[in-house]
Amino acid sequence: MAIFQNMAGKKLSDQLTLFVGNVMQIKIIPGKGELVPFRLTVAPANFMKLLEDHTRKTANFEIYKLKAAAQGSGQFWANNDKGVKAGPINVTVKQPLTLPTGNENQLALIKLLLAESPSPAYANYNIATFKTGMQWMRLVVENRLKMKSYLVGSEGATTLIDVIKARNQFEGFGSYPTIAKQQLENINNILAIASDGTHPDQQRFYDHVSAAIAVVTKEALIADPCPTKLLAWRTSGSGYPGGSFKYYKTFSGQDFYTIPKK
Amino acid sequence: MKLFLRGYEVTLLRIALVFFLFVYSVAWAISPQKEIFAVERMAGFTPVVPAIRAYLALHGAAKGLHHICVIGYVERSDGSADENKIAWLHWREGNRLTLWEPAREGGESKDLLNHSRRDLDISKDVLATQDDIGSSTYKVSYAWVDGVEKDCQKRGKSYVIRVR
Repeated sequence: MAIFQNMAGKKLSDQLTLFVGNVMQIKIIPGKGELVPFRLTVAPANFMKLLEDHTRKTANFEIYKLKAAAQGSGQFWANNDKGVKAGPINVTVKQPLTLPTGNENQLALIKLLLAESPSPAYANYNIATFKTGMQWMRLVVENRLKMKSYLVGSEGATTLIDVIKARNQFEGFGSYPTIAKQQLENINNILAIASDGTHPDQQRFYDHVSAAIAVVTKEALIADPCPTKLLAWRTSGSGYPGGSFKYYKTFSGQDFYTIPKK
Repeated sequence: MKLFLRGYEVTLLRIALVFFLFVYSVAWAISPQKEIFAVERMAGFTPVVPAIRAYLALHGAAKGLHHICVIGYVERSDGSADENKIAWLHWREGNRLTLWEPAREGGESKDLLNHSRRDLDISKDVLATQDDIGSSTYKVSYAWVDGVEKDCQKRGKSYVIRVR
């Protein structure tokens, strides 16, 4: 029986999720005695577009390049002249995940969380732990805004953006809304994978971005775990901050710090 | 008791203070006892050389020889048995110190290096003393960078990569 495979040779799932704009390359492997060419059918016709169809007669397989063209659900399948059928494969096409732009301060904080958190491709990544880590990072920024002190680079700050773009505080964010190349590429890479249904880590990245959005826009500020308030973080293993900071705890790939009361 | 110091006495005092801060921050910045691991034998970092080549390409490394040193550290949370393996990559010609975290099973080690969340430009991101760092999330002290570089030369793994 003819089957669809991805280009790595793995059988295609009967249920796929793609995002508008995704391009997927797949192949059809005929069963014993079955021959190419096959004709691909997409229904409804407008939700996926066939970009390329390459028949390899000698090796007896066929490659298709398909583009998710519009939001919706549907199927595709393929038949050859003898009536042999591969599929159907059910496909849901969603709109790509984007960051909310309604509140510029929230948007800046979401981007900061995405730039500073460990990648979902990281070996020790765990969505529950790292979401809590994002909540702690939000606390740091909010606490700095309330504190308005030179000790945490927030004297005179009246908005989250003032805190985020304070000189030398957060790498790549000093000229926000312009973000430095490395941080911008990292954020864009995370967003691209989150909305790439052909990427093996898509769901992890989607959950990661969704967590950052939820932490900033949908959830209340959590209770501060530190009695003297979380006031700084540093990438775990990158040395101590100076001044009056005291180590609080290592969590989700960050070392968190506070300033003890005198 | 003399209340005012002469000019040369102030200078000597300043030198002594800077020396004390330097020694203090070297000692504090990086412990010689820090546990290390061999990056080349650790899943999540391998294959190492192709990942370094991709890193050099991403940063637009010039044609010629490039000297890289990689050292893996075992980081532990205080009071916890949890351990976290990370590596620092020092690129001499690029004057960069880059955090390298391990990729999950089935992932590409080069992706974690090329999308590192801490990629320090030593000419810009390094400050004179620990106290200058203040509340910065990413700035580091010269003493800390110096400590990592020396530790890497001593206990890490060096690579010489030719970019064509």
